[in-house]
Amino acid sequence: MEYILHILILICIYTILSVSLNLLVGYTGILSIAHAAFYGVGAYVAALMALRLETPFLLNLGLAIVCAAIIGAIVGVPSLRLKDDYFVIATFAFQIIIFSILNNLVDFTGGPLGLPGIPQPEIFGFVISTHLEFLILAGLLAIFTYWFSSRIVKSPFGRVLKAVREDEVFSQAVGKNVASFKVQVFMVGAGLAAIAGVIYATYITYIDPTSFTVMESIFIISIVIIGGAGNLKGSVVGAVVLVALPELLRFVGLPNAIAANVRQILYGALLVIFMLWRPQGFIGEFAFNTNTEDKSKKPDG
Amino acid sequence: MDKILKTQNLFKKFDGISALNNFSCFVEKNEILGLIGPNGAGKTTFFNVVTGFLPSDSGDVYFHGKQISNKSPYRIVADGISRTFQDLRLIRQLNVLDNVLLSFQNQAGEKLSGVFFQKNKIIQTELQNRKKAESLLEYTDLSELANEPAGNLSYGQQKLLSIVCCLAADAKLLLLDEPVAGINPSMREKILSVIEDQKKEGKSIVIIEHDMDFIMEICDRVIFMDTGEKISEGTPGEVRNDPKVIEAYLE
Repeated sequence: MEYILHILILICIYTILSVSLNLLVGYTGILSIAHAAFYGVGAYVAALMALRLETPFLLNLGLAIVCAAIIGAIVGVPSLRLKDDYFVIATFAFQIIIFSILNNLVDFTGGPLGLPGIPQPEIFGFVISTHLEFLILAGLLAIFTYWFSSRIVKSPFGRVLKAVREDEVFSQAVGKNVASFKVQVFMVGAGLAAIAGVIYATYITYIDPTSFTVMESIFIISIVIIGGAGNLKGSVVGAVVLVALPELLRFVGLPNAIAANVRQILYGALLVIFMLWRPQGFIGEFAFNTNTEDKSKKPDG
Repeated sequence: MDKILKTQNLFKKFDGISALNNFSCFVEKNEILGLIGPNGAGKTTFFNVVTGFLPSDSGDVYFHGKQISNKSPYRIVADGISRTFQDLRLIRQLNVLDNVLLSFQNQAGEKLSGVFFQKNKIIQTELQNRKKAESLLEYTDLSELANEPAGNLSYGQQKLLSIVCCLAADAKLLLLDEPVAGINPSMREKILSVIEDQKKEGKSIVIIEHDMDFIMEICDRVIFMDTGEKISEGTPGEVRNDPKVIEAYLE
């Protein structure tokens, strides 16, 4: 039972990560591979606050979101000026920088040894300690993230995001400040990713930098693409499938060392299969790799 | 007459080739100005410079007497200048109605704070805009296609829709880049009448077009340009018979 609850909690965490990344990748068309970095920022801010300052959980959560959003702005303002591929490389660089900081600032972050003994969340005197309680907390935050994101994408703001994804020049021509929209949504994505980090840190009670590597970013991107870019429900489906599916491997009876590798192969294979045959993912509306359709339609005249 | 747009001594070079060479002109209020000339004469570059998509090397652009040179494109749209593109641009995946709704300026719902804290205001503006958008689509006979993705429209309908988007943006000055190139005759008439209606409503329009009949029919004044320079200017008839123009075209 605890095992199933554990899987469900992980699904909630990855739902938050993939839904928030979908705002960037699926709706705005900006492919960031720094999502795990913001996930890590959230986890470390909350963990350090709880360990060093013993501040209450909700304050840590709020501060983690704000910190990640501010860092998102600092990274986003210069890098979002870059064109597609260069932006991807810039976020990759940022991802590496965050990992290096977490890994090398030993006095502050514990370095490779990580931060053990993170206190469990206490909300208005109620300590969350059992798996079930954590599932409820993670579930509520996942629902909040979903609600928040869907509110954005259904609004006129979301309409501009889609326009930016499809044609930045036209978006400017109808009077949209494209750069500002990109930075804003990048900050939102970063802030929401931090929520997942806070849950992870307080749930596992131990964090180290290896949880927030570029591999993790790519895993989150896989969820978005396989679930369906440009569709929030797709991200939930993707999180369920990609978190639960590899767990089934445990029951096939493979030795642990092999199972871990098979898992990686499975992710890679799934990603390739989807890119080839179903680029819009399970239920996405934005086909990720077929964006090169011929723009010049023949005159009818 | 009021000069709504004035440009002075614009220069723009691409790798040593002059696209704008000391180009000065003006657009009066309530006027349709035709911009003609051979390919590569700098007509579209002129649009790009005025709308802020390209910085000029030197020179000034004034709109309503205020300097707008090198402002960002979105600020220039907010000031009241809208444009269409030669290579059709629309959000092809969004439906026709959404393309028009996107084009309205100053929407509360396009601010993140608005999305979460001004629900009622957003619903209200959205409803108002929707009404305006629907009447614009009705006026241009595009109503039936309101829920079609813009990419599914015919070439002519897309050109018309991009003009509708300029109208939704409430532009005082419209810059139309080849509005009727490659379009069937009935759609051409439709676009012609829309442009004439806009003039009646007191707007100013600049048109780039190779279709000389269209230019002759609709323009109050024509500027002929070649290699970034103004070669000739006057009424359509005057420009057509200007020896310099004939020479440039025969070259």
